[in-house]
Amino acid sequence: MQPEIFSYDNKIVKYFTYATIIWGVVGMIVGLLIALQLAFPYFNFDISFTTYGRLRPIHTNAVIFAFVGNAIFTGVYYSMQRLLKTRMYSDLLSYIHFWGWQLIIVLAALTLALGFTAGKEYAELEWPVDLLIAVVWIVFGWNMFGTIARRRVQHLYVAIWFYIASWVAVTILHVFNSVELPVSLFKSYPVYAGVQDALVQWWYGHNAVAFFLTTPFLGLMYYFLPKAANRPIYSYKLSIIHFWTLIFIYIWSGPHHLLYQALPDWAQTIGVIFSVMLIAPSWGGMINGLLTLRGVWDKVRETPMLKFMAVAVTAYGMVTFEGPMLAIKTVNGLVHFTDWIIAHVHIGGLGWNGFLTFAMLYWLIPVLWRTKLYSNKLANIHFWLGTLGVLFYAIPLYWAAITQGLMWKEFTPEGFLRYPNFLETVVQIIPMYVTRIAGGVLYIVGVVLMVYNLVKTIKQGSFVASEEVSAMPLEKINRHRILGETIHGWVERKPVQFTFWVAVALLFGSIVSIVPMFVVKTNIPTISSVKPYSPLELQGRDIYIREGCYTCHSQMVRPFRSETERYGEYSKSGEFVYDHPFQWGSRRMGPDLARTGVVEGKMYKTAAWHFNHFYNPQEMNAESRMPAYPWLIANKMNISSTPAKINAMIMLGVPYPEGFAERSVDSLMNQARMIADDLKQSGIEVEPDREVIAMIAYMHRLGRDISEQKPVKTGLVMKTDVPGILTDQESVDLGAQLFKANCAACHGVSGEGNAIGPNLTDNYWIHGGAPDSVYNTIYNGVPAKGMQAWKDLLTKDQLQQVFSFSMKIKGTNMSGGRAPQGLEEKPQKME
Amino acid sequence: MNYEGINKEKSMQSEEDSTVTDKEKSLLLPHEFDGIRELDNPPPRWLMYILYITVFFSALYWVHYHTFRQGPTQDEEYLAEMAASVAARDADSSVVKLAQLTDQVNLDAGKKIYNEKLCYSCHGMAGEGNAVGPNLTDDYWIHGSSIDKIVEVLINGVPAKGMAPFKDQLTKEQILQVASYVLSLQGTNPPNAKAPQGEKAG
Repeated sequence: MQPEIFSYDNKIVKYFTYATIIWGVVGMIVGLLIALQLAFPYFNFDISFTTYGRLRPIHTNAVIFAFVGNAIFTGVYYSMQRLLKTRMYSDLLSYIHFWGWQLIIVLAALTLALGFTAGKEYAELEWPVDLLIAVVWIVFGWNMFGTIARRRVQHLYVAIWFYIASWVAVTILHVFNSVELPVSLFKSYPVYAGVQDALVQWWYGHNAVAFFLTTPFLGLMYYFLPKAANRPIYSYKLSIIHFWTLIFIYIWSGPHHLLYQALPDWAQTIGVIFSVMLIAPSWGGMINGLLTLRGVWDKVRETPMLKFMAVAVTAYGMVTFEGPMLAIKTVNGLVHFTDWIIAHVHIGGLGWNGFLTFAMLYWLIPVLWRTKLYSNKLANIHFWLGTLGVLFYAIPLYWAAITQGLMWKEFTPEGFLRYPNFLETVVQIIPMYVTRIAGGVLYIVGVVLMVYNLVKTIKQGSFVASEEVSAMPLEKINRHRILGETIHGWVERKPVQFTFWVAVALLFGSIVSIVPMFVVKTNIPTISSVKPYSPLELQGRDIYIREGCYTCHSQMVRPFRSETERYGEYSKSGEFVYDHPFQWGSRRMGPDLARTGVVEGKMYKTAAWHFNHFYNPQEMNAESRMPAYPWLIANKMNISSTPAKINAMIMLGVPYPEGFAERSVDSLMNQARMIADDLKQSGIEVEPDREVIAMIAYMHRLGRDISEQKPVKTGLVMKTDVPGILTDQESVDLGAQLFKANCAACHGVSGEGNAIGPNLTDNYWIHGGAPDSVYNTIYNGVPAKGMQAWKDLLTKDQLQQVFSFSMKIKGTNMSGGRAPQGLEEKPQKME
Repeated sequence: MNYEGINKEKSMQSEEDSTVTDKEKSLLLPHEFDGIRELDNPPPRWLMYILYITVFFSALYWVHYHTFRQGPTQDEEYLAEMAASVAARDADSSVVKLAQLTDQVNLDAGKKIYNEKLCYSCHGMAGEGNAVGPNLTDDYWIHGSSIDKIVEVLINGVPAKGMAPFKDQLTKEQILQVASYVLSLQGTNPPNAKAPQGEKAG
């Protein structure tokens, strides 16, 4: 057999390299800008395109899909050709992939700036762009598998395993999370609603981290680290074990983004335990990388590329330890919705993805241009600036997270929230935000030095677009396992089988963790009072999504005393059945909004307040970090699409009455006029067709359905229902006897009170005079004050009798009674 | 052909460049990818133990919470937390005499609360009122001008009109302080005062 002469396509690698560098700088600068906005709201510039809510998705999409995405393709196109000893399958596909991906990035930036967004984190892009992504991704896969098919190497190296798994997983994730019903060219609704949408979204969101930010980079590490260190991989067996356990376990752990939220307990448990089980598989990659460097640590000290690589792998190890810890419910209860998560992802993004990309570029560009790196010294400076940048970025945010998380939960000895005003907890962490900006600046200055260094390197080198090489053709060997061949060794030379098993590993966890939420009805208990949004509220909701409000506000009250005290009743899964998409949020820069429509609640604000607040938040709260939204008042609502939106919702199963779409515009305008009239009474003149009216309608809707059920303080009564009040003479007499025997010592024979216990016959109540409050006091007692819990001392019937007697004497105002204590009960509140 | 035979691709790595130790040479696997070799080391034992322990822990966790239902559900955890927090304020049975405070210490305390609780965002820095809330400095009142009526508004709020209830944020004494401060603003005539609303105090 003769060696075959062929060439590697270096030009496509060069293209992706340039794109990586350019988008990296752009994405990071947008990141710096939004960091500035959080510390100094001035930087929102009062322009819709540049507000935080629109720029934050641009930042995340840019650094994930543009910077890291192009870095993946750079490394994949370089390493795959060499690992498989063949040119890419098709140059045409390579360049369609390249230009298609860049087009997607440009479209993403434009559409997101214009407010065309699906409102789901890291999956914000609207349906035409989603389709384009699918096409380009298929082109990439076609090219990749074509290349694998034409390989001149019998076995697939571990880097290729990771590339295959990444491609398969991202395909599945993107397709299933993007099933959406278009309403117009740039507006769609996801077919999933509420809890289901949340589960699918975080299955996607978490695994976008896993299979876009992690597994492809592990593939890159497995190629570039041993190449640069000139060392063999420490353990082939570890590669096998950590590859399969990683991809099998990763796919399950999405629900850890939804702990203590309106998700069934079993799904949360899946999120917890699969995250904990991820520690070892993730560390497998770090350990294999670090142990590969064993024996060449002196070289690591001297070679900037290896330094970056070593820190990248270490950052990966830190992040993948931190992740499982954050997935433990107790920890999560404190730091979810805080900056801990932001710090965590930046250790990953800046440390792992950033540093590994820099390492790759410092190694790859001198190789491609056949020269030496222009300046090792500059690269070393970059290394230190970058490392310091990460520390200055992350440490203040960890601090901010703990500070704010504790402030949210702190109660005074009197039992009030110590910081009932949410803003206080934000003001407290602004200094940390300023420090974080410094960290970002250091990191970006380092990157600028790198760009200079690499440009100089490119200038002094000579690029070979097509690199001629030779290799022996692939020998045909037995399809079946050969004697002495391990099963894994066999599958490694069977790409189709290998891909099949990868797909099985990925689909198994996906199906088991998600499908029950769709088919088992009890997972989402129905709440009959929850009704579809009115057309105006829906309009408001779409504006809420357009402005990216979910980037700072959650709509998810967790079942903690500190949250129900601050916001109101905790969120139930049945509340969200008409939410396409769900808007639970993941970070609270501002307060939770799930209960802003509960008139009696703690979060309610009038229409006039909302109007003024949208127009100029700082006028209402001087320290507020919220951008101003003057265009909501200037802009007319787009009501031409309202009937189409209602019809789309009907198609998705939202039960609007028949023919409602035709009446929807009338309904919308009627409601809008009512709000405009309300504003007029406060002296605010505004046309009813303005966007702000829809936003007010939406704010006043949130939480209202469930509040109309009036579940008065049910939270206090432990595992028991309040019985009815008996009025028949026999029961009342029995109650009176029980009262005399058990209660009179403290409350007097007729309930008039004495030196120990309060008067029960007046209208003043210390622990509430409503029937369920009274029953609760009898049932659970107030041990701190000497009132016994009677639940274990009396039978259920006896409890009901004495409770009925207590209700009978209420308001009889016995003479000689003890002076009133507690709050007077207002007559209209008597039930 | 046997298994060894299919792995005969030659290493492109030059031997003198290699940092492979003698000990490692015996561990080198026969295959090679673009110069990258792999060693036949076992995975570190401690790492495998972490894997086994976390799997074991996870199984226990599931069994504990879902098979035997021993651990509390999230709703039960909440009920327990609420039951355990018989808040001091529920136990506060002190009776505060409902009379306007006029001493400077209490008025200053009231002013501090007025600012801390952001009363100014609706009623203005000097109580002059704005688009949202009424003027507190004139003698027109929507919900009554007496100290007990003002205290009641502070306690229960007027949610439909945007006045928040403060019973979950302030003690009785603090409510009295801020109500007294508000009454002390009567007749101060600040600039930009909002037009009178409600009824003239009798």
